[in-house]
Amino acid sequence: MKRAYPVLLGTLVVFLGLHALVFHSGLYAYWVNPSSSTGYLETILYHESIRPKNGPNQVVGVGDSRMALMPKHANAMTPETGYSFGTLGVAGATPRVWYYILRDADPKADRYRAIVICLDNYNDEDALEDLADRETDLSYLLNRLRLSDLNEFALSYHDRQRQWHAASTILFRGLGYKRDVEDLLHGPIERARTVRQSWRDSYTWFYDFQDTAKNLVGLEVDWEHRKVKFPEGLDHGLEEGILRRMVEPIPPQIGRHTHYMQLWLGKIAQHYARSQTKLIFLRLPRAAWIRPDLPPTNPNSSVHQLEKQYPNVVLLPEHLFDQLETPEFFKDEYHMTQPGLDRFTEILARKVREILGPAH
Amino acid sequence: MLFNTIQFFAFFVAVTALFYQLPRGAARKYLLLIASYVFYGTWNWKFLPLLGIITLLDYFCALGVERLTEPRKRKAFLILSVGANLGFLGIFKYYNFAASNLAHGLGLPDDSWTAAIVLPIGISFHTFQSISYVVDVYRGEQKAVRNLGDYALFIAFFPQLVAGPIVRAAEFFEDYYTWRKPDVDEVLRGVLWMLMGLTKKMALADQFSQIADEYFGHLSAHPGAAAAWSGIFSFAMQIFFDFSGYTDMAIGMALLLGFHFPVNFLRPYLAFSITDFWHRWHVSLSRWLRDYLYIPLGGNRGGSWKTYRNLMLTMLLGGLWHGASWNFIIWGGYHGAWLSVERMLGRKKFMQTPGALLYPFRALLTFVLVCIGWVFFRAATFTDSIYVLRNMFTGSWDSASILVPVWLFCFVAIAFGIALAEEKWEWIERLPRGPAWAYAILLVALLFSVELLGVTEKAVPFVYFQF
Repeated sequence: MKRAYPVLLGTLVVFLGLHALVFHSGLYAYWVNPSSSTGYLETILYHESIRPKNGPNQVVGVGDSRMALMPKHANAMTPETGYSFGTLGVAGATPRVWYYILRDADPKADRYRAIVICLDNYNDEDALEDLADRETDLSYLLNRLRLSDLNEFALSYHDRQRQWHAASTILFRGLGYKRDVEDLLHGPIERARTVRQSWRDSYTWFYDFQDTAKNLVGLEVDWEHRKVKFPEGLDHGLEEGILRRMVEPIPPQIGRHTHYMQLWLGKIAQHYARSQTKLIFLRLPRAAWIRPDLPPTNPNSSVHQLEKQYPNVVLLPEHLFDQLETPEFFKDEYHMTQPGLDRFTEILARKVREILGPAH
Repeated sequence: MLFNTIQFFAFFVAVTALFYQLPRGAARKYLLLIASYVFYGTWNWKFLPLLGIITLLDYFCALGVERLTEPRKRKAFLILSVGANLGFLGIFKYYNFAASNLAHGLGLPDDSWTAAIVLPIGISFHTFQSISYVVDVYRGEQKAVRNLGDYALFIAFFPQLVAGPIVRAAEFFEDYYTWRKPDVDEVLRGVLWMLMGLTKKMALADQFSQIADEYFGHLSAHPGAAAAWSGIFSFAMQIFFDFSGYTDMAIGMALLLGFHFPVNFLRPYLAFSITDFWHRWHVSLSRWLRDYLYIPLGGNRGGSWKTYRNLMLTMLLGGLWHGASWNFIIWGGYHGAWLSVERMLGRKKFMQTPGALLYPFRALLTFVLVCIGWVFFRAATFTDSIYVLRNMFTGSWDSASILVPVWLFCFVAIAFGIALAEEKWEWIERLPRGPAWAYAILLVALLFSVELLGVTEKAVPFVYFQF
């Protein structure tokens, strides 16, 4: 006679087996929408894996959408610097995401001579948002998080519901792919076409990408009256963004972000602790105009502590890119124009060469 | 604690595990009773005393009805019980409706006498169950339960406490007094029912609810016939998958605990007439209304017109049972009118399955008629209902305004195929006795459906919890 438990247990085993095959083998990740957070991160990692690497003199940059290193421009300087550059910059990615990206892109911590980590500031400035509770991190990392990450990743959220959501999604990745599955069901043929095209061509799209040259020249800030004069013909949304960044009150500095940065930058540093790879931190050009009420320099911030703790951690001079903080080099409240990006890349490539010395 | 949450899953697993660890008898009974009160208390513990009072009242009334021999006194206890149950229901569910209508009728502001009353969840279900018990005792069809704990469990048993099915005392106590451990077949069926219910709720009902809510929440943003039909089609799917999903889970849970609940939905959208629809939709409520309202009103014993009157009254009150609003009364009246019309045209025609050629047309027509009824059920006001109906029948058709995505239609088509197969072969009952691989494939498919299509961002409450 049939027994209930073996049948139910067998069913569970079949389910988990199929689940692992579909979601943990990369099978589904291959078909994920390249425009989704997961698909975007997977694409960037794929680009880095197929990037032509001539020799051991590889440098890669990590950061978010403000990551201003342009590999094509930097590689044009290879005859001068001796180094090849790549990027793992992902728009919207946070230091938590950077850690998992680097762990998977460089599992043995031996692929790069240097990792360039682009920060908004060296002061761990608190923003309105608590980055520890950013839900999209989970979407980016859906195909990267392992069962062994469950505890650490889920508990890095402060909010209980998000902890639970993260834990359940790591266990059952399908929960995280829900929207993508619906999108796939909406148009499976179109999806197949997009995915194939993306795997085939997107490396060139990204590598050859040229940003706009349209800048914010004409921007003037009357700090005393908290008024901004915008350049002619600026988009309304852009004006609001600039107002928010330039004149609205800065949130109280309570040290929340320090804890977050210590944790995730610390994990990156630990990953490279016994390697030859240099971790080069830099402060990105902040904005087209620098407000005078920014928090004072914090000598005990997370990056300063890491510099003291790890010999392979290097902090580029905080003001190295100040010359680029002008309306001429910015297209909006955060991001640089193509000329700005090019200038940044040139300065950085030469600085990296200076720190690492001649290429091997 | 909603059935479609991990908290409830943990609760159910813990209760079931403990249930089978305890010796048979009182310990198990009190475990289920405590668990049921805890389950109810998680909604709103302040209503636990109300549940207790209704339980005590009906317990003693039933004993009184049974022990007394004088008909007048027996009747007095019956009236006390029924009156109290309906009184509680009236206060909590209908007071504001009556007060605002009375004020409106007197030309006063509608909210002149209304009060901030919270509706105790499940009150419509457990009061009907209580009434049926005392009436059955009065009729001599059921012995009064001697043990208060036994009776309290009958009323509060958590799988069906808040949204049915409305179980008759005879059914419950037959299982209870002759309890036996579920066999292999029952365990497998129980798990299958639970998972089917969860899939219906999370992967289908909650998907359709997003479309229905969008349409009925923003009527003016979705003009035209295509939007109106897709809005009401979505609601028709939502309410069916939601409510039948809930009862499937209740049936499955009960089965795993050794209780056999009656089936509450018999593929209602395959009905070929409104009469047939009501033999398939919310069967336990239809049965209750028939046995405790329609037949006591005279049923079909007093000639045609009295039959139509009784049908109308039963359905009007059935509509009112769903909620205190004119729209529910209209919905009940609408169904009552169709039942009367079908009765007028000859009951047999609407009871016997038509031939294979005619059946699809009859089933489609019935579905459309049912959907028209759902407009009153779902729309917030009578004016909204008329607006939707006008759009359904006189609005312009623009395919671009169809709100239901093709893939969701495909899943409905699959569900339709499954329902047709069940109608013909009753395979759900037979599957656990068949090959293990077939059972496993279905379960795996259901698990994937819940994982990939289930709405999990938030636990969407069941539609019938508001009744």
